[in-house]
Amino acid sequence: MAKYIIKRIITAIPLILAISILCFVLMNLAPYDAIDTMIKPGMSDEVVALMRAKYGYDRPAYIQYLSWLNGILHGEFGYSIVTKQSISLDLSTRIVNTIKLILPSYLTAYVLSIVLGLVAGSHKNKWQDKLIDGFASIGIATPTFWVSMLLIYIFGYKLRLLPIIGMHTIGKEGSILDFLQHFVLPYVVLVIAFMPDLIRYVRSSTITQFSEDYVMVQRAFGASRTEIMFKHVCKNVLLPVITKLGMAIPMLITGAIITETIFSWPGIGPYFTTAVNGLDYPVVMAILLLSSGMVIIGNLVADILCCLTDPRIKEMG
Amino acid sequence: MNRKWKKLISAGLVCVMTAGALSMVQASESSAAEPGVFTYAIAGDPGANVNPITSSDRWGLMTNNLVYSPLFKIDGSDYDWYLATGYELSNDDRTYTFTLREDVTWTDGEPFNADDVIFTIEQIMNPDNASEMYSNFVSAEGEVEIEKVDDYTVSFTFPSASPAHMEAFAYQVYIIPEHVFANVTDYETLEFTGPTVTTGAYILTEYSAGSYLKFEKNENYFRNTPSIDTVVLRIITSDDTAMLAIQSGEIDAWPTTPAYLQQIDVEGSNLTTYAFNQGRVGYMQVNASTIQDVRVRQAIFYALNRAELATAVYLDPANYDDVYTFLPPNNVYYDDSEVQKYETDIAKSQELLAEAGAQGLSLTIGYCSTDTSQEVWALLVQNQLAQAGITAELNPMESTAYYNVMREDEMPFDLFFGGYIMGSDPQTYADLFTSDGSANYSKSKNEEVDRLFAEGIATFDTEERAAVYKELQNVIQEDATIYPIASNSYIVLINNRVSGIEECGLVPIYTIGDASYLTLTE
Repeated sequence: MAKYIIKRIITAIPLILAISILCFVLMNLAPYDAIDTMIKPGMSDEVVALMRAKYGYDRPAYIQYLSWLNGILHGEFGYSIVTKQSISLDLSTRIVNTIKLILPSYLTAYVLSIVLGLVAGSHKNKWQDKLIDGFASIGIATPTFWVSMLLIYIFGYKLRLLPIIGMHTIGKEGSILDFLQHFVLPYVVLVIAFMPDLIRYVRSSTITQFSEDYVMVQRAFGASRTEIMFKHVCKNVLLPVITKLGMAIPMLITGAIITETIFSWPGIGPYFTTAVNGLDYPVVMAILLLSSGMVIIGNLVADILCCLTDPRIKEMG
Repeated sequence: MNRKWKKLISAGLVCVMTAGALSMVQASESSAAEPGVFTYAIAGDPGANVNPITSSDRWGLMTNNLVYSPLFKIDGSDYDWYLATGYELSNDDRTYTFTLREDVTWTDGEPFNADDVIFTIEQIMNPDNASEMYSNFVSAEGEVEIEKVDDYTVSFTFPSASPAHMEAFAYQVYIIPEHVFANVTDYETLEFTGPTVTTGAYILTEYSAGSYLKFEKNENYFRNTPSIDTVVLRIITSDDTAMLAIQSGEIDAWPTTPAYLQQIDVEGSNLTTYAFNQGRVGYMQVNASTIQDVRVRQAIFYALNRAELATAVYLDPANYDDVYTFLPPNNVYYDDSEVQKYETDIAKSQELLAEAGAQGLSLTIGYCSTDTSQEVWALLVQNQLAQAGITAELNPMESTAYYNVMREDEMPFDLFFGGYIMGSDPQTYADLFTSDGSANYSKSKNEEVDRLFAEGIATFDTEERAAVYKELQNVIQEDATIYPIASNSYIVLINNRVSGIEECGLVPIYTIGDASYLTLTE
């Protein structure tokens, strides 16, 4: 097992390198760069030339890439060209903020989806199924920014029950209650956003399982519905669902970009979108590196979980 | 398993609901504004190492204005003195000698003196810093020479005389402490480590990336003791969120647009609208390299309807001022008494087109696709030109692409939109209109314009200059390369609990003039 994991990680490294080169090439192909986004009519040509030289834009593209790579290998993410901040410093606070938001909401969505998916799948085409499936379909169709604005309007403006900006009221950073007040609305939005996909996944998995032979056999033996559900079907349904958990790991970084922007939640989302708009390549590359690393790790975790939970795969692998 | 599941789920739901209920109970207090704190919403993040040498974004400049002080500020045709008390001009008009206040201390106790001023200007003149103000002090003709006369007197000698040099000291030149920054080699990688040492009304005490900047009052501010204890610049990137936050009282001030203003119940939310002229000119320009015949350009202008364009974007005449020349109407030298205003005249337009042999003219209109005002103008202009028999095609471009293609020799459009805020002195507009100006997007080459700009800085006499600039405004309008549409006001919604706004002053770019005069009535 350990050998397998190490082998996977080693093969992942050239993949991440290739992703970073691809990203860098694409950003360079854009006709304009970060300096162009900062030029104002009052700036003379000399000042613009000075700015370009300062950020290394006067060097050829591959030199810029190599010097960026050199920095990364020494553990330095570098500095943002637009905000001039240290990227590692920014990322360390922002990732934590994003995780604080996404982890609870995803876990809640996960648990609720399993329950609802199982209920829907086992009562296929009955009213429970129709209700839950209907909710899932509507959930997939509604955009998160619309739901966010709706909740802000009702709870933040009309009823004045909850604050609508950010993660804390300034000066109350230690207060957990204050954090919860700010947390509730984006949390609800994200749960509504994550659930539909998972519900339908679990539901279809359940339906497939219910049509298997072993279920018919169990029914013939006289097992009750709940017994079939929880002693036999559940395990088989949860197998692919557990692997989904692994695939959701990259969402810890980029799962809530729009929601964070609407609520001014100081996470990765707004940071990333500002960087993309400003053609700020050090920031974009850093986040992409992290994100692709997480995808690879997520896949690896999913595979391992699969291995651990399904004895059939262990035998084969 | 069945029961266990149910128990787990119900327990979980109860927990969630309790937490939610608990938080809502307390919530009604926290939604309201904090006493003693003035919260201003800003749309972008200036970054922690905001400093007067390299910051060039609006929010960075706003922060600099809160914590640092300049030598003086320009107020119409007068000077509002801050760190300096006065100046003298040498006989050859090239040397400016400033006398400084002797009663100012930095917030760490060190006295402010000429060394700080000299250090600041030297940093601006250092090419490694790539400061935006570099070109004001270093040009092809040479560098500014600095001389320390004594601890409170400094003189600056420019390579040539120009009345526009005073402006170089008034805008974006905030004095930084030499004893703090002496060993800094790169202003843009400063780590924020705590209260910065300043001479301004407020001290930056806390910065939370992407969230807010928090300022505490500087008790020793040399102009006035600030009344409000804490000022917070809150970063809210979504305009829709900010619109709800200003109405719920979570923020006290928010710069907004006419479109949002229409949706807000200003009085019911205990707000007041402050609209002031920010010296901006919103315009349409003509690509003079593709439309070379001045009669054709004038024909285009005669087909347009300025009032329709202005009200379409700014909605209420209270939100903008009329402008008919390249200068904004609040500029000391603005003079439209004899200028060609191109009042709508379709017949005249067609006459000019016939004269130039350009009937059936077909044009391309370029605009920034993410700017709704420009989009509205482009569509309206297309419509208005059609009345005169001119067909126009639209060419929207992404923001960065749009503003950069203007700097190139070949532009893929004949008409395009924009807006600028330059300085107080008309010389600051020279780069926009002189033949080899770096911001001459319309590619116009008019020798008379070049000559008049040069004449404008050849004398220090304000009456002589006024005559020159009056002629210049007339000439540029005759040349028909720029069609000024409106000078839109900067609109800020402020909660009625904030007063002292007149004394503080609302100014272009920085918005808050001198924050020490603001007070909160709870």
